[in-house]
Amino acid sequence: MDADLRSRIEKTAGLYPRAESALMPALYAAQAANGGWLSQEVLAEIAKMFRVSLSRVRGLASFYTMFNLEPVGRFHLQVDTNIPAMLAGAEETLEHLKRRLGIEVGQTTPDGLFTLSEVEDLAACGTCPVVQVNDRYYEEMTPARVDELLSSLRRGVMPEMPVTANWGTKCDMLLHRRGKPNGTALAGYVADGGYAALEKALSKSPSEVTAEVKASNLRGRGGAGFPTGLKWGFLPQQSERPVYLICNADEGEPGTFKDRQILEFDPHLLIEGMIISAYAVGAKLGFIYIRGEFAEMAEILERAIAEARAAGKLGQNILGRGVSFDIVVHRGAGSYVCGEETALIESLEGKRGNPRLKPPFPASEGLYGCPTVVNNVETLATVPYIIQHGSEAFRKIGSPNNFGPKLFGVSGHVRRPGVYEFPLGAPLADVLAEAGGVEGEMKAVIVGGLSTPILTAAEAEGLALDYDACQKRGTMLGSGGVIVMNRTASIPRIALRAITFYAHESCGQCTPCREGSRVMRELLKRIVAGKGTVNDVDQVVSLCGTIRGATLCPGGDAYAIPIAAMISKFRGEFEAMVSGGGAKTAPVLAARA
Amino acid sequence: MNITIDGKNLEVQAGQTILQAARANGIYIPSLCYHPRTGKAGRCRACLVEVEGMRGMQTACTVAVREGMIVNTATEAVLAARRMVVELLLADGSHDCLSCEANGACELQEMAFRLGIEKPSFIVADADQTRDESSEGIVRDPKKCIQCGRCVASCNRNVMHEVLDFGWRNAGVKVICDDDKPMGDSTCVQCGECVQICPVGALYFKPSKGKARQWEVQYKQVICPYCGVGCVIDMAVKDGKYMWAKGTEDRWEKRPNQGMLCVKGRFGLEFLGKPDRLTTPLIKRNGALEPASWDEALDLVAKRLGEIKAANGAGAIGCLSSAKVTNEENFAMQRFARRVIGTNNVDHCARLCHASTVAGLATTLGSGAMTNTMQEAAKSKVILITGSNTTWCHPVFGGMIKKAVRQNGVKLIVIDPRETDLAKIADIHLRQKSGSDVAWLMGMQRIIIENGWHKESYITERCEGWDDYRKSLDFYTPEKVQELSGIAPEDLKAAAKLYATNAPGAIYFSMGITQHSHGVDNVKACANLSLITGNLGVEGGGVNPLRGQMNVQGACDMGALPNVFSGYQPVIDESNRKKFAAAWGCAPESMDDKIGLTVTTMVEACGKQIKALYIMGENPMVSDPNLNHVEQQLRSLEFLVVQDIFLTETAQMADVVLPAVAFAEKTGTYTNTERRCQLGRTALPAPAGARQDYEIIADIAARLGCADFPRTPEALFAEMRSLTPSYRGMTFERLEKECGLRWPCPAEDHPGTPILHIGKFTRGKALLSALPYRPPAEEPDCEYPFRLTTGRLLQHFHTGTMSRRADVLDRLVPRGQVEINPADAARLGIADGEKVLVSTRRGAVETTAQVLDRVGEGVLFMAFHFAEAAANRLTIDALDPVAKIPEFKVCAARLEKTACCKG
Repeated sequence: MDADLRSRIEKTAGLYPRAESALMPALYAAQAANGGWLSQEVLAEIAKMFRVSLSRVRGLASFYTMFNLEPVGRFHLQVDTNIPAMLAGAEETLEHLKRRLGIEVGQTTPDGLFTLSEVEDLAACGTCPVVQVNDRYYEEMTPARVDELLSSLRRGVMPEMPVTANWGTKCDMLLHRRGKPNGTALAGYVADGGYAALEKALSKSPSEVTAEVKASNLRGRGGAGFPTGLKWGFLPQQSERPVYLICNADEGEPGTFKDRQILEFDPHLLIEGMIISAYAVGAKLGFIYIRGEFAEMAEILERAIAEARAAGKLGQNILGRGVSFDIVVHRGAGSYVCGEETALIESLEGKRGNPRLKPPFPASEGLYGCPTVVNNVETLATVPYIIQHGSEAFRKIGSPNNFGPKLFGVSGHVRRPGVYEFPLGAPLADVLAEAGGVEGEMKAVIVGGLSTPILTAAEAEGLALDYDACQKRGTMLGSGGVIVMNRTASIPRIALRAITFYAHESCGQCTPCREGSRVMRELLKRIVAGKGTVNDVDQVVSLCGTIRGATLCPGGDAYAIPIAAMISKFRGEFEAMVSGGGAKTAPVLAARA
Repeated sequence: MNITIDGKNLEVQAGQTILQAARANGIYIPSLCYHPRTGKAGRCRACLVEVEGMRGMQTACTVAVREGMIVNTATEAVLAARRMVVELLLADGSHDCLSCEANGACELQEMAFRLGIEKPSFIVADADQTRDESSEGIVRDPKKCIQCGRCVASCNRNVMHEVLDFGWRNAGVKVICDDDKPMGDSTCVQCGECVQICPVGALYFKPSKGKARQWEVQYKQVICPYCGVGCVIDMAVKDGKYMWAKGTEDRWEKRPNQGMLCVKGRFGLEFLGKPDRLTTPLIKRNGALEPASWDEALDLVAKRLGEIKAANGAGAIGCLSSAKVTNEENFAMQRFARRVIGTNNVDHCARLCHASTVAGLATTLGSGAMTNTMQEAAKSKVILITGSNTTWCHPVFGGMIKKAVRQNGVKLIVIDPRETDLAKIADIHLRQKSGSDVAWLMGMQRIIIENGWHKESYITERCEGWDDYRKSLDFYTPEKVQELSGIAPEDLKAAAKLYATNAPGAIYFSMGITQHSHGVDNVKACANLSLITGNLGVEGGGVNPLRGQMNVQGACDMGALPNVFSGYQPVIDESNRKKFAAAWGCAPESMDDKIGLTVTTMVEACGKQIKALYIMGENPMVSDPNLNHVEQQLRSLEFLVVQDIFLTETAQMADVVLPAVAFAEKTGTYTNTERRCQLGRTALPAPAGARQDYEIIADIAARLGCADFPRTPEALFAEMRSLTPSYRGMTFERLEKECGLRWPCPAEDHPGTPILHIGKFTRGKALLSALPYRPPAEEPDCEYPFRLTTGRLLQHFHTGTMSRRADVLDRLVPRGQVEINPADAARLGIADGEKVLVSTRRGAVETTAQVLDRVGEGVLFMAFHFAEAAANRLTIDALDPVAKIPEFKVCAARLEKTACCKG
């Protein structure tokens, strides 16, 4: 580690209240400065610099997918093979790459130019297949475009490869600046009326701002749909310890790619939303925890933050009103579980992304043990409208108890996969129509991201897309990631790919998830390979039943419930795959009703 | 409050978890990751229960009890979840109980048994993982690991070695050492805590593998024989033989070691069963030691001592007592010297270590012992450590200091010429020249007073001697301090400020302060620093000498010292002599009324005043300074008796060797560094032929005419406490029931005294000492350009009699080395591991170079444990004029390659 790298790391550490939070940024910086990987020597130097144990640093680096502990080629080709990508042909893309490069997954070409990896959902579901090359996304990667990419990379150039990226809006709120030239710049944002809500908010008291958000009944857009104003209300009235606001930009739920629309195309909307929210909850420092794969978007955010600071909208004495708030952008490094708020907080503290026991909740003991609020990108981006136009106006949009606009990411077997803004409660049929309609005949649909129960086409008839309606229908709106499957989709293969994802992402802390996801994956592998038995299918269902409610974090439910749903609703497909169809033996573990 | 578990109404305590409440009431709820010493984890999910009113299932280990709570631990859902946890853990098919070390004490096995699970219902094989047998004492079997996290929690939050952590993710999660190295290649110090706390057989002790089943051993509680922390050990004994050691978990919160051990307590007790234990008395005939009967040997001892006393007077005989035997035996030895021989020539190895402390603090505070307790480390706001390599010499306590720094935000200042483990995590680490401590200590005080950081009212009310003291500080300007110690003015000021402006502040010190020709001054300077900042008589404060041996405090308390009876009652005081004479049934006039000789002055007087020495459990031939001279001196004795458990280097020179029993083979009390007297009971039988030290002394006494000499620990203890106010309130029953008692404990209903000098000092007001600067006796010069300092290692203890006979310790560190700074090594062309010759004006020793920057330039460090390369052949026997303690910490040395010759 040379002196320049050291001083950059020291500078970064100074941005955080606790230096250890800078461990992950330090690993990134060291990796970039050392040929894209982290050797034992580099890790030892970092441990020494931060005065933490070697095992802590190795434990940290080995937890996250994006830290390379072995050398990688000059261009690291990371192919998303998760379900939305799978449905768009990612397996073909991967095979094509294997053939072109002459290597298997996990290997590097002899000339050291390319390393090929399979990765999980990159939040590019509407523009699949997607290949991440080092820190950049290359989307809509048909074999032809793959060839174009490879030939450019062989010349040492990371090419520009524009994408179509479908989108549409019925509300013109969250996607208001999409498609506008210079939409991410401060000037454009302000000219468009941006930061007026901030002015208005600062003219009120913090409790007035909170009251407005409470009155709007804005429900958290991260997936749980928990009322945001209520969440803010859990913070202690008086606190000697500082309050922190964290924006959860970890967007890792397969099928979800809505937050990136705001990060990429309207960063100031998020920033304004954060400043107003921070004012309401009394936070002087906020963080945007952005998934590591969103490197380009992190840069966009940094530029926007710098602009906002320079214009006095952020930092000390905002708008001359004596209010202070600043934002630190913190990159994750490849871990789905860090989208869970307590795991996110652990990660922000420079640790492995292990969810914490609740209680205590972040509102009382969060980041560094201080009161903390974690809100989703889309939630925060909705706040400016509520303040600017009032909760009354907000409640006119959407359906009863489910107010406001919602970004729906539509992927899978539709003609125009992309992100579409509709009021909450819009009929699924309308959203699918906006996405160009289903390709072929719909067999099944997942409406809220992979962690929600699948619906058969029949069950999806007439479904309205809001939190309450979805729950009544036996599923969840979740993140609003709509994955459409037509008759060509094999549900057992989807179930296998799903459990492979969850097993990969399991943090490994608790027995049911760590071992259960592994066992379920192996059983489903057997089943899909035609080597399973009916008993194996029953065993999977049984495990789903007992894992549910038994895990340390909601992560266990996230797959136990959906996979049970896949099997129960498409049982025939699973049974057709087992060999011999031998006698059905009773499962060992009692299944939960 | 009241709760209901499975329909049973129970009274529980607020703050307990459901699991704790259940266990306290004998209700079974399994748990694999919770442990009282590592706290809740919520990872294994084995303790799931149903609580009425709460959705789903809850982990019993994380939910606190509430009034009226209704808990069900055996519903269908709970049992299904429990089974699932066990099935999933067994699913990789690698949990074979047949020869597992944990069989019979395995918490997973227990759970399976309770659930009636005979074999795994489904096997889904996982990647193979090999056993790690790379370390000396511990084997890791990752296939059996259930990722409960207890070992990680304990390594990072209790013992604080920070070696283990979790690496990787999902089902690939595994416990790693350092950078995922084999344990034997990592920084693991083999304390063994991970093995002790592991619920299954994923970690086990290498030395005892295959030797005993869990149900074949009985656990006997003993006090560790090594350092002054006084760890309480549960020794596993099978058929009267030592098997393995655990830190006792019986009332662990009340023990000095909180259930933890260091590598010596863990693996160092093997010496008990070594074949070269002394089992028969030996008499030197024609220059060789030959076996003899007890009667022969004891008769000879009594005869010779009697003859020498008759010819030369009682003062010709010296008795060396032992910091490794019980209080009762120390009391017996000083009783023997005073009552039977009639001399005050009784002393022990405290002379070599904390004699300065006893003298210095007795003068300034009125009491020469540690003023506070080890448990208070977390209560300090700032800790200053000097002259103590705490994580090596008082390892478990060193861990507590590290814990206080890491977890309680305690600030740490370390002043040490070497970069010790604690120096690495200190807020301030300053390297001073060995021997310059009065300078920087007084220099700090000058800065503190100049800046008004001292506690004026405390000084006025509770101290005396201010004027002379204040004047003496004028000499210690920052520039002067820098000249003498090498510490820069800004650094000194920073340390002074950090210490003085954080309260309470504690000072911990050890040999680096005491083992100097001006050791008493050093101690007084420490007391000054604590006094002017008002840190005495307060919780979290104090002047805290860390006593080295497990019973050196006790040996001092028992009066195995030339100037005092037990309880520090001076021998020159006629009323004291009268009191003891009355108890011992002799005339007061027969008692020696002059202060006797010390260990160091006795050695000097060998062949002159001293004609005979009776040495119990001491090895001056390795522990004393200037060994070539010591050897000469001992050879000039007319008669030497050595009573020990092995044929030590000193015993080899004796005329009579008497085989005694070791700590685990006797019952008696021991007093640790924080004045805590603890009881150890016989745990296993001694080798046939060896006898109790107190019996041997009584037998010799009887042969010398004192037939009523007390012959049992109980009798000795009873007599001792009747004569010793500070121990009067202690009984064996109380000691067992209350996990030891800290003196003063003047009455049987007195709870003991954790903190001394509250309100007033033992001497009334404390004395601030005016101190001149006196340099070490011998400093580097052109001929001997290095400053040689000596000390201890983690893995060995003192003269190595016990520790080098423990296989694990011996293999960890088989031989001595000399630490040399890389710059010096480069200049001399010496590579790491090369053979070198270290010499001083007193002797030369061949050893191996260890090149590292733990020592500063111009400094050499050697441990004194290795008789064949004895550091004390080099050290100087310059003594402190009052304490008579040698200057082990500084002398001038030179170092050269052995190949290169002189001339």
